[in-house]
Amino acid sequence: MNRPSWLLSALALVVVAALPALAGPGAPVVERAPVSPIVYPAQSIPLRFSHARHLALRGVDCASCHPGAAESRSSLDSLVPGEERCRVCHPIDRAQPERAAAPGTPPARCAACHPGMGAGQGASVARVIMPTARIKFDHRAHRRIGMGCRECHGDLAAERIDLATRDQLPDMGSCLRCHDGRRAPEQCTTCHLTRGGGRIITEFPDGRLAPSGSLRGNDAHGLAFRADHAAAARADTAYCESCHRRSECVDCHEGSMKPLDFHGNDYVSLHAIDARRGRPDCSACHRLQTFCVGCHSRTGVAADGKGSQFVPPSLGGAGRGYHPSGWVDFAGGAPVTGDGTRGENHHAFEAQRNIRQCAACHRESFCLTCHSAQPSSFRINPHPAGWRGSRRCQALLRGARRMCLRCHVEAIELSCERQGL
Amino acid sequence: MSRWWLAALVMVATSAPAPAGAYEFELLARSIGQAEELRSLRLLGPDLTLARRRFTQTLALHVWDIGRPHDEWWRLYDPKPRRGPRLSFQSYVRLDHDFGDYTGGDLFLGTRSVDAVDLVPELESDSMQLDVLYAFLAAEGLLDGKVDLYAGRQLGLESLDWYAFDGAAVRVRSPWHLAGEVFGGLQVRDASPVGSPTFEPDGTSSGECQEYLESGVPGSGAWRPIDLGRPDHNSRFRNDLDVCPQRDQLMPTFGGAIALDGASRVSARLSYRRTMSRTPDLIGPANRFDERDVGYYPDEIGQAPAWGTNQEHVSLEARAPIDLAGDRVQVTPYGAARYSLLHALVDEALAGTRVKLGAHSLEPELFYSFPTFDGDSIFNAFSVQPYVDGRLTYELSPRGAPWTGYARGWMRRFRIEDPGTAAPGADVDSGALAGGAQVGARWVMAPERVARVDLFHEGGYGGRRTGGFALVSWRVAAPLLVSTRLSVIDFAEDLRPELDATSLGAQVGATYRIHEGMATSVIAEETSSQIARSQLAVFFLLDLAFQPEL
Repeated sequence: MNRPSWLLSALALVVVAALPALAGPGAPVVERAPVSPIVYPAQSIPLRFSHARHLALRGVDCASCHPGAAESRSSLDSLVPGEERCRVCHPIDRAQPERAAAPGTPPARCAACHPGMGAGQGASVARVIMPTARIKFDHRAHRRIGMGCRECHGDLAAERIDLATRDQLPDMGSCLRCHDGRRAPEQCTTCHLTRGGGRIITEFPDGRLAPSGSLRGNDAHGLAFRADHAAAARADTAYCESCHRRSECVDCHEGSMKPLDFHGNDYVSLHAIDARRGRPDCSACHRLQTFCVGCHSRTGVAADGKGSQFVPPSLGGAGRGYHPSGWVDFAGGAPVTGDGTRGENHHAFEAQRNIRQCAACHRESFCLTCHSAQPSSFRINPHPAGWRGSRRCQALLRGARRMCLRCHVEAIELSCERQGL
Repeated sequence: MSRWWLAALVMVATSAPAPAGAYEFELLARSIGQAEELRSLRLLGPDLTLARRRFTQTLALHVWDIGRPHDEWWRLYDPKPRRGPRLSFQSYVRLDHDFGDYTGGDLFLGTRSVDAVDLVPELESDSMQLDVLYAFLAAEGLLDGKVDLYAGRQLGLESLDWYAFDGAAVRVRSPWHLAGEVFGGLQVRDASPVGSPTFEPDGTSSGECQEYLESGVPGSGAWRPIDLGRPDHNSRFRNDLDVCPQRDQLMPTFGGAIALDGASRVSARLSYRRTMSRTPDLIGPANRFDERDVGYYPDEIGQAPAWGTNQEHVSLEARAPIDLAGDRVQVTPYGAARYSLLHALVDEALAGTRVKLGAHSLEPELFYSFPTFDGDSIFNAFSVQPYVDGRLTYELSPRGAPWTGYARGWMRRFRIEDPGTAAPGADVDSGALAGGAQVGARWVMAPERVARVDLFHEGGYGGRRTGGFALVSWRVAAPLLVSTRLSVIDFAEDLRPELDATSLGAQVGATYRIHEGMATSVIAEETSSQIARSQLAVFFLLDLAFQPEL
């Protein structure tokens, strides 16, 4: 790597590291994190109401207005009080929208709670839209273990909350304080809506439900996640399967359809750079000795002696050759080893840096033409220094002797003893 | 039975009408058509491109709660907990065929025209390939939720590994937040019945397979291509010439794992897996040669083992999210390492930490890889150095904001074994580096309009690449989504100076939702560069999902 590229890459790393500082202070830390707009769809609450003021009244508590909450077993239940609940205290009379209440008594005018219902402002009440939360929730079960309203919804009086919105509904982080697998179940399906088989429903008309990272940390489905989710997926496959079918993994990783966002543009020309670096890992989706070799052989990139004109002159061919000059030094039909030194373009250096790039074009037998102990080969030793006696030699000989037999036949060669051949 | 008949039989059998149980099954069918031209560099004959005309049909059938059709425990909004044993069946079948001359065309060997698949046996996987990717029966929640059983063709994803096997697996949960797993069966490989070649351990080829021919003097024989004479059949969909007995062997695989279970958000898993195969016996009739025929491998003095190990790994992985500073900061360290007992080395390792502070996330990672292959692959002998990777990713995801962004930098180091072997004056980098940076942002302009931009630069070992992508998707009407993607990439490969070009690409796509669970998509991509003036690719997708009603 030349110096400018080196410096550029190092600079890039530094810039990325400094970005959080450049971006300014973190998001304001609040007691309650913003709730998911997918779990709690957007609301429209054209009301004038103060929870804090109501809760400050003598004898008024949550159950005064939400009497059904304690026994509710489903988030489908409507727990928001209707007009009849307000009438308990407010002397509402629909026939008298401007009715004035006696001093010291709760207001009775429609406009007291419904902005825009004053005199000359029209007679229709804007609809309150509070979509059902997309979770399962059993109020009764939570009450029976002694939980109070404020443990999930906050202390509306102390927090001086007037109109309660979806921001007063519990976010996942607060649920997980108890749902940790010990005190309460931690399965995603405990709360999230599921299809048959227990897979969470993630597609909704107004968006897609995806992990924010608050649960597992590195599972946040941010912009970079599609290209780099290996660490998260490997750590907990069952967790991924909470939302994803196995067929979804296979569709991408089995390579039956070219993903154009990943391999867009002229990837046929571009892919060699990725393959030489091994980044991204081609083998995450492709088998080198099937997918890569097959295509390279079919399109003539690989010098496999099967009709390709890409056999370089150094190997007796007339083609241009993929590799640069000095890749293999031949003279008189045999490789030149000379004093054992190699030019900068010698293929040994590339093979040592990343043998996977070689395996993407060449079949095993191609390499054995030169690198084998067989008499028919040029008997060029590919093993690193200190191979004999190494644990790796012993392990491979013990478990993969068949591989050793491809080059070595005689018993004395099939040994990792330092004093061997 | 030919693959055609087998394909037809399986597709008909699996697509037969299911019994009317409204909430117990899911059927997903995808028809995919792909057409593109692939440059051929052979320069023989009039064609300079190879046509790919690929058709893929997939069918996924998932059936749950077999025998308990009225147990709708999962019903929407019903928090009733899931109890009792659950029986399910999941399968995924795929048929893939390339009608183009890439697979079905000819190749010239000298002056002789030969089926391409006969010279390039790897093309078989593009020709009438029928794969059962998974098909297993699961009995979960047995013995009061303590035991899960699985039987059939299953996918396995363990630390740094991805495989499939035909067999059985059992998972047992203990009261101490530990679960044990044991599995055994046959690894899926190319030769497996309706097996996908992708699951074959990598490093061995189906082409040019050789056998050892003994000579009169033990140890002086030689490896030669297997010659069984002229084949008595000629198929354009299958290779008629290559014979690879070692790749046809059954591959028993077994293993086990201990993992944390129900331990809140912490996960940890220690696993072991071994895959092995028998050494082939004689090929064809005994004594095909003048010399004594002792089989596929040299075995005059008993060198050939009866069995060989293809893979043997011990893997460890862990992840533990930690909330700090009153939940304002979340730190998630994670790591994984795989030790190959076959190679006596750690061949893959990963360590990283994700730090999340409000809308900001920073994630440094280190990755290590020492290339290893199937135990039968000679590439194991050529793998001598690992490469090491460092990455740093920053993500900004303000809640409620219409945009998100990320930036990433990375650097990978490649080493050579002995720089001292370089000739005097040769410029050989003993620690070649590649690195780059990438930034991107997505902007949700309106619920129906989204834009995304990615810019990147990479340099060093392998070559240079600089460019970017811009994507806009727009829901024109409720059932119609249109998207376009433009890209510009300037690249130069470091080994091939002539591979230096600027490539422009444009994609246009549309997805039309026909009905609930039914959609069709078309994408066309045209690219142009100094290397290839025009390349057009067209993709078509018909997506049919028959799912339980909400």
